[in-house]
Amino acid sequence: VRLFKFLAAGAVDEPLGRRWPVPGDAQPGAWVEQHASGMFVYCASDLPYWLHDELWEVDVAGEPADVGDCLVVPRARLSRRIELWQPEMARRFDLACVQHASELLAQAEPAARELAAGYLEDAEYCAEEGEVRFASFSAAVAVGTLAAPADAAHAYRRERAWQAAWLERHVITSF
Amino acid sequence: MTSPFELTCQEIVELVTDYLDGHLELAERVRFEQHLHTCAPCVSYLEQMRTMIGLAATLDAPPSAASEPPAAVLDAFRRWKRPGPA
Repeated sequence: VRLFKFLAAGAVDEPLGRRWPVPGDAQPGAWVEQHASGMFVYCASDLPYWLHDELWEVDVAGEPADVGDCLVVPRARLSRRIELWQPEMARRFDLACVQHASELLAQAEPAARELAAGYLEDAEYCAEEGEVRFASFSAAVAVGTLAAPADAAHAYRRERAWQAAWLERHVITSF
Repeated sequence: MTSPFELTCQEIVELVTDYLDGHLELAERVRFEQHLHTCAPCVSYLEQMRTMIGLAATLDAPPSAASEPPAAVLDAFRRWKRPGPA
């Protein structure tokens, strides 16, 4: 299974407040094992929840534990950067997320559309501004609010799954 | 109120010290870090907290509460609210 890590520009892990060692001379980066409860890495299906500037493929050591939306491993290291994930690709992804959410809104009952339309406007604005993390999030929330309250989280996650499939098709499989 | 989608900024503020102390349950840590990926202000807040804790650790220890306060302070305290001359 291929595993990944999104990081801020410069291989910065913002939650941990540190920079990951990057690969060099055809060698992977050094192992990272900073957090006591383990390092988070992602399957392709987890990617929309963790979008950031740089996408890296990682090696892991130890048994991964699935905690939902990510895997926890004792140690991980960057093996190579997924170069396809660049601002232009991120913009394509944003536009696809907005387009898909728009199509679902158009099929919904008018009463259900009212709140969702506000979130969709946020998504459109963020897509225009290049705020990739917020555009896809807002698009998924828009779809979530179309559902009955009891089903909102499920609908949100279903939309995130659609986004993951897009990323897998256009970014992961192609690289 | 908890959002059905992700943690709110208010929840992040409530959880930040537990996060930095490594006391969050794994599922909570996942939601905490997910929120950071969609919220630049909370990333800044976390960084400020991390900096503040790091700086606080470099300060000298305060005087122990068990040690005797200076006599001048005790004297001022004893005279505090004592009725003065009319």
